[in-house]
Amino acid sequence: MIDPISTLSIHSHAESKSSVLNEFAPLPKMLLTVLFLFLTVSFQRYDWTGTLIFAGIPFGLAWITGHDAGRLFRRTLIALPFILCAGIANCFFDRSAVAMPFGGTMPGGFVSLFVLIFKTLATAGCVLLLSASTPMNDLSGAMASLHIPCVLILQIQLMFRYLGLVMTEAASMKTAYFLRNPECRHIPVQDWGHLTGHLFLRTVERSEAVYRAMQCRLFHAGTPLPRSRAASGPERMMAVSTGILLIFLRCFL
Amino acid sequence: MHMSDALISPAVGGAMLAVSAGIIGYSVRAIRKDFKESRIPLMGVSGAFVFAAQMINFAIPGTGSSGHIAGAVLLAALLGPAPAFIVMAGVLLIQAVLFADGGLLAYGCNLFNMGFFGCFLSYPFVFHPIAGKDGKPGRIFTAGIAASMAALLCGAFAVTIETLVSGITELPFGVFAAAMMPIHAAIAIGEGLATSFVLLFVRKNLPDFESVKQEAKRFSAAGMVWTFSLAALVLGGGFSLLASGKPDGLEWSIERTAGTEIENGSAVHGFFASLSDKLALLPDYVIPGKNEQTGTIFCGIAGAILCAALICLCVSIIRFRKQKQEICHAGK
Amino acid sequence: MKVSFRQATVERTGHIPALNQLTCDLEFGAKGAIALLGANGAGKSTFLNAILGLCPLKSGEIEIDGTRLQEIRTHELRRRIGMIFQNADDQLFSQTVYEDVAFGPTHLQISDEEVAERVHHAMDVMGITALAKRDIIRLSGGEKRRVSLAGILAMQPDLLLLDEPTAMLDPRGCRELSECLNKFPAAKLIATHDLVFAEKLCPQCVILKDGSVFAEGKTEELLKDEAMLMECGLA
Repeated sequence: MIDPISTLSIHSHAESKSSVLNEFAPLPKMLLTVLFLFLTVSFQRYDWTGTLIFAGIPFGLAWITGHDAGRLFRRTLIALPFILCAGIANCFFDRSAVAMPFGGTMPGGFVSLFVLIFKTLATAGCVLLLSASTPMNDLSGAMASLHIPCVLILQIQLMFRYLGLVMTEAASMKTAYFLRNPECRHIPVQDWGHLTGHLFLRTVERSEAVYRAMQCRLFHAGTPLPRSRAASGPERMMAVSTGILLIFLRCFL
Repeated sequence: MHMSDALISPAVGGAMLAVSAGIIGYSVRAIRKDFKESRIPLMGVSGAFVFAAQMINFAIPGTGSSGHIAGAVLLAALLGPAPAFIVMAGVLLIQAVLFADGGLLAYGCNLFNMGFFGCFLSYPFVFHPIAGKDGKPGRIFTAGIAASMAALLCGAFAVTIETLVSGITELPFGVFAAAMMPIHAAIAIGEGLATSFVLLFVRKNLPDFESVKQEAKRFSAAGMVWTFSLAALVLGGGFSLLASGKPDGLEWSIERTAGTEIENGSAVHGFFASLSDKLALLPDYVIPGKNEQTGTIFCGIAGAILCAALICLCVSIIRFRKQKQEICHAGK
Repeated sequence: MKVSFRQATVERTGHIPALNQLTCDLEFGAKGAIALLGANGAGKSTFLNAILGLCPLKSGEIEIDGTRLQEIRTHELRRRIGMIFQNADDQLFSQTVYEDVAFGPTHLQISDEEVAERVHHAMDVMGITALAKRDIIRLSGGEKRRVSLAGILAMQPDLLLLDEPTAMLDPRGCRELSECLNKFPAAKLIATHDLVFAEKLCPQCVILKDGSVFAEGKTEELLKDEAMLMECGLA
């Protein structure tokens, strides 16, 4: 289960930091992330060396640019349990022998399990590093630059804002419920329906108030969203050379 | 049901991104046609609500996926199919980018599996006809459970096909589907109840609910056939053809699981194979013998059509019973 | 600035009138302040929302400086009139203090430099410069109120509407708020049932009861009338 409040606080903590990665223009950062994902998943099921090296890239980059690589790794582990289920199934069904570089062979199922784990670390780590180094507004701006429909970006921004409201309302309802039911350890199933309904209506009410506040400050759903900061010449050069380097790395692994 | 990037191949990820982008484009056009600013905060908060609800995850053993409430039927009932799909797109993108729950490359797959079926298939063709205009509690409950069942089973079926076509897992199609379907059927009952409770509560307590809900439309039988056809072709035919060009696609998976492993005769495999024989929805198509590609394509399309046929049958029975009741009332 | 209500009626859900045939004229000096007093449910919040066109009128009219509300462009109306909401949490929706204060100015179609200049000036006036990078969720109630004010100040409005500004503030927070409001270079309309706060800041007041104007005049004189205050639920 994900705890959004704590995750959001991690996210915002990273935003307030000043690092090369945080200062980098959002659009090339986002495009490089997508390229990295494509290259990572393009590895075949027994390419354990390539995926291992790619798995190290996000964490290495985080460490170099002053982000907390350990925390990033721990957050990446959220995605692992489900991947492990698929990978472990491979151990039972794939018994082909795969030659290892140091001599000898390993069962194919085990190799593919490790490849899946490395791929997950690489892809989830990379996406989380992007979110940790790019504020939500910049991500939205980058999406606007890519001509992603305004209504979709607006929904993402609002949802990001309203998530806090839902969580706050849910927490206060839960506290109020247990204060009036001190003996009760879990909310009984028969109370879930009206509690969920109340939660929904309360958050709708508050979301409308937030939206009114936004309207008062000249926000309008029809206004084009501000685009992200354009990349400077050196940033473009850097992004292109990083992309080429990644492609070369993929080709030679 | 969130698939991560590691579970798909670039070809499947890219193809599904293109399909989902097309549906987003269609939805955006539909929203622009009937734009109401008052609907914007409701869309946002409904998305946040579904996001929170999706955090309740049930791991599905042996599949590489997780099971949880999808929320697309609820969103579609509150907002209408097109806005609901856009909200689902937002929810899944935030989950992918900020929480690594579902991959960016797998975004197209996740959106199709969790958004398309609930918003464009299950809501208009299952929920809407059953719930009717009067919104009686009994009908809302039946509609909620039936629609959630249809949406989640189709989504689970799609996950199975996408993962197998990507050649990531070696689980046989039958075992994989047999593992996915019952769990998602159980989740669908929970989702159906939650959807019905929220809808009934909102109808009762939010007086202007009707003003924010998309105008009730008559969904035609032709539209139903087209939507099911699209889903069947994308899932069944498109992917299988796509995989047929890849040496490590479904062909590889079926060959290994159905051929080599049976010869090995291990206890574990024997157990899964017997389970597969008993529970698999389409076992004959999974072990196609010499012509694997044709079998795979046929299997995919047949599975989707079977889902569609089952849903059509359920809706027809309910409609028939409704008409019968009306005739009885008129007779009195 | 002059705000006039002419037989204005606004209905809540369920056809309950929130403003009932309300007629009044509010004339503000450059930094003038008027208090809008009334018990809970008297229609104070609806009154403020109606000025900004946030709730539709069932009948009647509202005029700003003699121009009907419908004839003023929404963008222009909301640029000229700012509003502070009762719950500061509803008003602050960005990640950091700086981003939130900059939200309004970025929609004013002005250069990035001017946005930055306005934001820094507003934060300086409200004494929150040190909080610029702080996450919104980590602010105290008083700080949130000051950030809300800075967000509106950065838009340089002519009139500021405040809905129960002292709600959820401790005495120190109230004192700090009144200091901030004294520094705020715009006319103010303060909806409150905090009579001490109203008397301190606003020489004029309007008292609402059941969606209509019950009394208007000098705050000091009206607040001495115990019987009248009792009748409209303020004592």
